[in-house]
Amino acid sequence: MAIIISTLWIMAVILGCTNTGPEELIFDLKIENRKLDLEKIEAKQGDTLTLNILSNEAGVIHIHGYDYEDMVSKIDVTKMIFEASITGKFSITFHPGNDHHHGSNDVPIGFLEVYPR
Amino acid sequence: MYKLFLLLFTLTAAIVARPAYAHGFGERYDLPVPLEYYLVGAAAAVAFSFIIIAFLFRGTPNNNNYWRLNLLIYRPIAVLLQARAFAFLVKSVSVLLFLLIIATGIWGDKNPGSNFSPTFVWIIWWVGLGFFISLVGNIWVLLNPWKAIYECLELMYMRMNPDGQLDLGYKYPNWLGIWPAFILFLSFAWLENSFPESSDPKNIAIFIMAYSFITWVGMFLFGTHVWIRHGETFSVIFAFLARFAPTEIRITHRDYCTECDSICSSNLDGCINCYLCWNHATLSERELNLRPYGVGLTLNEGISGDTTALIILMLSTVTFDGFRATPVWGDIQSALYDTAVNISGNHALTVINTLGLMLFPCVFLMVYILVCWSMRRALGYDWDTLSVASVFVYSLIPIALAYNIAHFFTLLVIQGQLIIPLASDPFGYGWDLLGTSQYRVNIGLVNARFTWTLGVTVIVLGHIMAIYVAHIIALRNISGPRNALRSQYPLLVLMVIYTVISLWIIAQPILEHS
Repeated sequence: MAIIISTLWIMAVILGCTNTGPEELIFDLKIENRKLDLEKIEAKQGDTLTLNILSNEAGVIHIHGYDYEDMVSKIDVTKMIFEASITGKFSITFHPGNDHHHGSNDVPIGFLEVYPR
Repeated sequence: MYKLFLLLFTLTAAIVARPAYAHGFGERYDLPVPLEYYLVGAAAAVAFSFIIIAFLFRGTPNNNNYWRLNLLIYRPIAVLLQARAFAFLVKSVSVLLFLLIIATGIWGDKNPGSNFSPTFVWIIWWVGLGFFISLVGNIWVLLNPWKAIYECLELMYMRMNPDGQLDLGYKYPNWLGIWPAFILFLSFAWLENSFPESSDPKNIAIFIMAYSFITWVGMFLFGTHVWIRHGETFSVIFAFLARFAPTEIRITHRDYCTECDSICSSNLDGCINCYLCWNHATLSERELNLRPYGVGLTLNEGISGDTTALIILMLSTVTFDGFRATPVWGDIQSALYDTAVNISGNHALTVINTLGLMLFPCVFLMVYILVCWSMRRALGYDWDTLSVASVFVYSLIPIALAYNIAHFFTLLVIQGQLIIPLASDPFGYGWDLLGTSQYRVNIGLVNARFTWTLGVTVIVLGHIMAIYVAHIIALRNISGPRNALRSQYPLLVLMVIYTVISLWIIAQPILEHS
């Protein structure tokens, strides 16, 4: 029993080790024909993310889980700034048009993956 | 040779992840377990396998030789748990919830996220209650709404007809065994894993009403307790899970056990988990015991072929549920899709998932039987293969339980929070009955690192428990510790494979699909 408990403790220590601090990450993203040029955005918990988004079609970009959304257009760059405070894998969808109402028109275009530090 | 095989399998089982499809409804935000966690877990499973099998439990353990503490010696617990009012309250709440699920299914909002029934049935009841029964005890014997409603009707009938009973009293055919429970569980597994509209509230209400009809007809034909033992599939399944739990009810006098059949564990010291006998025994003959985890899986009673089949079905469908969300299954779906569309049109994915659900238990059973045949060889052919399969089948349950916890913990803790606002607005009409309708799910409640560590640790612990249970069963049934040890090598290989597959599944990403 002592061997089992010691080994499980050692496993937990090995797997739990980490020693890096939060960073500021900037991503310049383009939505072209309802596809994101960078399909997977990776960050660590505590990082501050700045997403500069341009789209060839007007619509609403929505980051699930965090529930952040904003209008995107082909004229102005949309800036979304937030802290990646929650770990997980969050889908990013695009809803064409100006309506913020979500439904079957939502198109999945990528993922935000936030890893523990 | 076995060690080399295990090492090779562990190293080759780390497959690079690609996206696949989610189980159930609603969003999941799980990150796949990283490769280093997976490899450490797999290595630990292999290492512990040899440590345990080589160094522990060399004696021949007695059926009753395990620690237990009777909670009924503490008066407040005894008064509470044996009070009729307590049982009545629990049953009433269960029946009210049962009726609420049907009502919200029929008349509530069609959006699963705004309706009480999908969250309650698929997350709180099927996942949450399963966890509770495995880790605490079999509360389903009190909560079962079908039993509670039928017993209530029976009481009312007997008040009007004191000499009558509300069933035809037909003798249940022995050859039928628990095959009705098997067929009903297979149907349930199909709804869970293959039917695309399983989260639709109205469909849930229809399924429940159909199952209620079957259950009450069974009770009417054969009697409540006979049907509970053979045909009410959730009672049978939860009884299997409860064998792992750290609690048991025990009747200490064998005279009260004469009404029990093989579903109970009966020996010189009385009978265990015989709920019918519990109702008839006096207070002094009852015990509610705390006991070590897993000892219920080692108790030495006859297990029939139908029980073995249902346990294999349960284990394989749990694994299929997770396998469905892996890139390998996604590739299989893609490869079969065109053919399935030609055969079934819009139902192509349902057909493919149904095929998978049917094939998985067959493959599982074939592999298990092959392993048991190998064990028979190691025993010098004193046993037949099916006897070996029946005696050792309970030892696989800890691995399945551990995988279930690892895979569904975040679903219960994160998605399960939806029940808080839904309790205030069960129909989705905009009510706020309990003041919680504005509650927002906190998706940051558990950190990914905690989830990974919990998942891998639980799966390794389940593996350790499975080996322990198999070892105890072997020592009790096979003469000589050397023969018992030799018999377990094939089963040990199977357990390592099963554990590594469980780790591999949780190392795959889950994609939401719209």
